[in-house]
Amino acid sequence: MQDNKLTTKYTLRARIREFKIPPVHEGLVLGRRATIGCKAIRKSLELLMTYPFAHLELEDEVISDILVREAVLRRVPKEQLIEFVLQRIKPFMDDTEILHLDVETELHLEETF
Amino acid sequence: MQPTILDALADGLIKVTDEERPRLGPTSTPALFAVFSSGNDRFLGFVTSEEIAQSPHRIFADLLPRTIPPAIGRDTSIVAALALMERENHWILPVTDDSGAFVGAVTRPRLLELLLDHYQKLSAELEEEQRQLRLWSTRLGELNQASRTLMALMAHVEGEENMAQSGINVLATLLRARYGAVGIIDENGKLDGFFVTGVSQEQIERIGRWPEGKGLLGVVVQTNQSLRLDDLTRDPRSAGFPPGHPPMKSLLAVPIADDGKVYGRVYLCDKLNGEPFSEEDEVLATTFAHSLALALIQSREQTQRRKAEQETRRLLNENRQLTRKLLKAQEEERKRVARELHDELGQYLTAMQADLAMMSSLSERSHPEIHHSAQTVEALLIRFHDTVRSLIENLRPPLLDQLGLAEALEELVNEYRSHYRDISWKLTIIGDLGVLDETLKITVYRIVQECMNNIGRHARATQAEVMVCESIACQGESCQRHFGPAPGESSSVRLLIKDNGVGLSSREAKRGLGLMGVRERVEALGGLFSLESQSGQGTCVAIEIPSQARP
Repeated sequence: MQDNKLTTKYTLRARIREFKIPPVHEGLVLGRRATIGCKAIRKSLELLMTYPFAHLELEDEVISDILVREAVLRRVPKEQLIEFVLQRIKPFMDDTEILHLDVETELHLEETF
Repeated sequence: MQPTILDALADGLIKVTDEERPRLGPTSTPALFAVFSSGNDRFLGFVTSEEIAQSPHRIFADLLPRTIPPAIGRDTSIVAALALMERENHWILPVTDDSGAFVGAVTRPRLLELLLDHYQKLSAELEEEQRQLRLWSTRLGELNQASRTLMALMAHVEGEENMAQSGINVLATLLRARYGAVGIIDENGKLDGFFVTGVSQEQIERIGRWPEGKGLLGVVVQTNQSLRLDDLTRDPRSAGFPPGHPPMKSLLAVPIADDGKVYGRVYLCDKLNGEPFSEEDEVLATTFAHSLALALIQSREQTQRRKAEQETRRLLNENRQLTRKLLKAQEEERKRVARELHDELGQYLTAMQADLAMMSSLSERSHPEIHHSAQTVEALLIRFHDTVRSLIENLRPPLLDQLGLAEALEELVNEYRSHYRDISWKLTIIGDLGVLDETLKITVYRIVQECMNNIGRHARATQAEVMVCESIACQGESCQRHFGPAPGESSSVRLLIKDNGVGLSSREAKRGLGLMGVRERVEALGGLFSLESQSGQGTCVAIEIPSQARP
């Protein structure tokens, strides 16, 4: 006869990483049906980060808002950014998601005297 | 009353702040949230449970619509609120008080529902009013018909008994009552007459007597107020019915009154359709009873007036008879005195004249003083004789007896021609005045004499005309202008005396004793007297006296 007495074994495996501040660098793209709304996210960003974010509201069926560091908008016009997001990011996005937006900008400046 | 915005406030509205996360309960009842700013309590908008269900993890701030609906005051009309919703494309609006504080919310469906309810209620009221209007129109038509019937009764029915009986017949028909009665009361409030409808003669004989004012009938008499009962047998004041009386249930009793005075009562029992009498029935019965009161008043006044007229006619007739007797006695007395004066005094005067003439003749030479005195006395005696003769003529014109009225009038006019030479006198006599009786002859003579005397003494006229005619014979234009066409078979004497003098003022015409005496003489004989006179335009006296004096 087998002993029917049950025993429970616990195994713990940990992966520790530093919580990076700020959690968001350049911005976020919010899906229209995302669980967290723009105002709640914005409030959180204001509490967590010191630099200001700009809020871009979109009339689109997938993407409702873009929250982007205001510094970025000094280098890229907001219309160009919105067009970029809608053309390049939207095709890979579901309307329930919130995506990190890391923007690398490169400006070529030339001056002729 | 029209509903207001406050009537339309949404029930179960939940107030929340924008940072709260919605917690929907297990019930499927739709909820409506009013969201306010957590910082300054400012109103931000509305969120529905359906919107929450789509994004259940979002805070209210992320569930709000992009635009805040405009607020309306609580005095805003429903129509204005709906117009604002249409214009601003909102289905819900916040409502604030005078200080701007949030009171609640109104939704388009609720407003439309209220308006629909209101219009349905108005429509129902309108329909009911139209129904009532049609009913009243029919009733008024019937009342009008009944009133016309009553007016016709007033015009044609003699006596208040017939009026009351006809009135209750009409009223019972109008109100569709099986039984009706009118009780007329006397000055002391006692029942003076009782008129019924709906009760057969056989039933009346079986009952045997009219009401004695006991029970409910007595109540109506004492209180002088309308009484409307669904079941009179259940009223504690009811004294029951006498043996043989038909059973009655519903009762409507109203007073027949006008200006606070009560003339009787109207009683109606049992409507033909079995329903109790309505308030409208009471109004109609009261109106009708008032008309009946007016009809009774008029009937009584007519009766009284008729009696007064009869009495006046009787007294007038008596008065005329007495005046005629008086005039006749007066004339007879004058005639007797004139005869006495003529027969007795006249003879003495003639004898004295003869004696004085002889005395004068005998003393002419021997006693000239006596002769002179005799002549003086004789002259006085002649004047005295003339005076007596004139007196006799005034008392009873001898020509009237000797030659007749026409010649006496001719003589009278001649006499005035000689006295008043500045006046042109004209006398016209038409017909045979000899057929007139003695009283009439002397009356005509006296009237002409009085009128001519007035003309001579007061009129300052240059022309005077006297016309005396017997009406049957008269076809003269002047006569017909004053008296109308000549009567057919009845006969009368007509007098027209006119002048072109200074005329009479209305005061003189009324106060002149002579004309007053003329009028009395004419009226005593059942005649007509008229006087036309204007200052500076002469005077015209027109008189018509029946030849055979009226009784």
